[in-house]
Amino acid sequence: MRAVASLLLHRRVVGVQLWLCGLVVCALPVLRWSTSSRDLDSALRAAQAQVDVMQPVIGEEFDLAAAFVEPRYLAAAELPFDLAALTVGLALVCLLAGAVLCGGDWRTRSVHVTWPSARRRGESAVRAVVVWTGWCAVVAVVVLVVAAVSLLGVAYLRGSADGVALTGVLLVVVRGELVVAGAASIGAAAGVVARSEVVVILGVLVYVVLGELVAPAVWAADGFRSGVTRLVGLVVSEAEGSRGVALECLAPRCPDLVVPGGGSAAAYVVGSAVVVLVIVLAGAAARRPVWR
Amino acid sequence: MTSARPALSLDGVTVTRGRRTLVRDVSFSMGPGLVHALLGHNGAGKTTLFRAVSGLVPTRSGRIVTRGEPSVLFVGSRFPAELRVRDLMAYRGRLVFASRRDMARAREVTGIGAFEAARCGELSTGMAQRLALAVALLGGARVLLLDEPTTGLDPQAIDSLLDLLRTLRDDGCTVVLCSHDLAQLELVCDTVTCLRHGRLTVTGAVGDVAARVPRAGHVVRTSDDGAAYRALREARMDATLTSRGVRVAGPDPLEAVWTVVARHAVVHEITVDRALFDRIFDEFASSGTEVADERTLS
Repeated sequence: MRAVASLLLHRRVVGVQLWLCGLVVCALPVLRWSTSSRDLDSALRAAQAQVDVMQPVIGEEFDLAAAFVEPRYLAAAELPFDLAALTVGLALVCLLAGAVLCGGDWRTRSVHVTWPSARRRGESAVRAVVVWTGWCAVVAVVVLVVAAVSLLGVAYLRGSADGVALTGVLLVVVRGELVVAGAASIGAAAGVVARSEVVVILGVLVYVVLGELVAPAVWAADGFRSGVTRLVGLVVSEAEGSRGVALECLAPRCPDLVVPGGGSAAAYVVGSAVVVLVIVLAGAAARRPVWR
Repeated sequence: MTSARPALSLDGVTVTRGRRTLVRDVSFSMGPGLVHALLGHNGAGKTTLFRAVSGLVPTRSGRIVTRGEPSVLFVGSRFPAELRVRDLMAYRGRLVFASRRDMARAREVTGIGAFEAARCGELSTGMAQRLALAVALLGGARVLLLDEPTTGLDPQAIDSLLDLLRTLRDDGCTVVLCSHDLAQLELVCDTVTCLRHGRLTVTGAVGDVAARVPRAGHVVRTSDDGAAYRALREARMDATLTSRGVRVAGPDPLEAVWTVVARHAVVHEITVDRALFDRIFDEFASSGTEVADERTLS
């Protein structure tokens, strides 16, 4: 395991993964910082000016709340979704990087030369997927915790951290961790099963186009929820009855409070089972005969 | 250099894929410290046999016994481009619990020490072949299977590879290789096995197999090839004038050719028109003729 882990750190794809993670973990707080402000008075003035313009046009009373745009970063409403979005991005990076790392070694026949026998191939595939999954889990913890702390910092400085339940944030990080680990193991195992990263990357591209762009557009009226939407829902896992409770924010219009709950126990069990199954599958797939 | 226990032994090995039989009932064995050539036409089953011996594909029947786990090198195999040679060696060494002595030996025998700081993606074909051999040797493998090791190598690199194979042989390793670079192979191989359409046609020491193939013709390069050609024709020999010299086909002995030509021109060089392994290939491994009777030469 140590040998595989030390080799992983020398691989270019790991460098790219870390670079992307660093970029995102810096970009998100910077983005939130640059697009938020504590200047509530200015926002209220802008809303009032909007009302003054719109009221004569409409001819009816125009509610100030409707024109109000919240300038502050309200962590209690936005942080769970920011972390969930970060989790999805991180999961995608880990999935693709895992496929490149493990599938690439099969495509270039590096595995054939290094581990010709079926038993060794199976063992090396399991080791690679386990190490990659563990590595991604560590990266996910660091990225999500750093992102959560940074975003809370942004909230303190440019908005409000009132109403944030740290337990809820922790649960989001734990579920994010599980999702990233699952995606990393699936990506690495898919690379082993397909014996190439190309198939996996094409598969992801096809899914993004069909599952995330076409299908939601076609079945929007039927309440279709794409995979990413469901994943975000899973990571946030709002607590029972939290929906519809508005945050106290001393403004004409306050966003709904998002309280992450414990989530369904089945989700944790299924997530963990997927990781284990995928590792076993990778080991079995690597033992298949190598005809080419 | 042989011993009672063979380094590699195949007994009735048959490999099938779906309904296709790729290798049928192949049996041969070789002792340690030998370089063995596996000859066959495209699709004869050479690579499949290598895959079966190394464990990449299963056999349908038969038994393969090797002295330790064999290492295999396939043409087109590449290591991750971004890894440095020393990192790859260190990684592989840790995986197979190679001792410092094994690491040093692999470095010394293959000469990779000169480019250890280079990344795998920066290596020339010859360097990459050396690295692959070094990786193969690290595990202490005593049987090496090399599939088309000369592919993409320039003549200098091929010479260097052949020297390396001789070193390995002297070190007690058994090397099995297949290549279509037949003229080079015969300079280093001790034994040979031929396959045709998945069946073994001949196996044995190179000298024994050579005794079963037709004698080579000769190409004579002289101070006056035209005069030599006319003299050979007058002597009723099957001569042809070529840009390389005068080619004399058929069974005429070298002495007879020399005697006729030397009277009319100064002989600069006499070479065979077809290398020994080319003739062995034609006789036992080309796909164009029917399957010959299976035989093993001691």
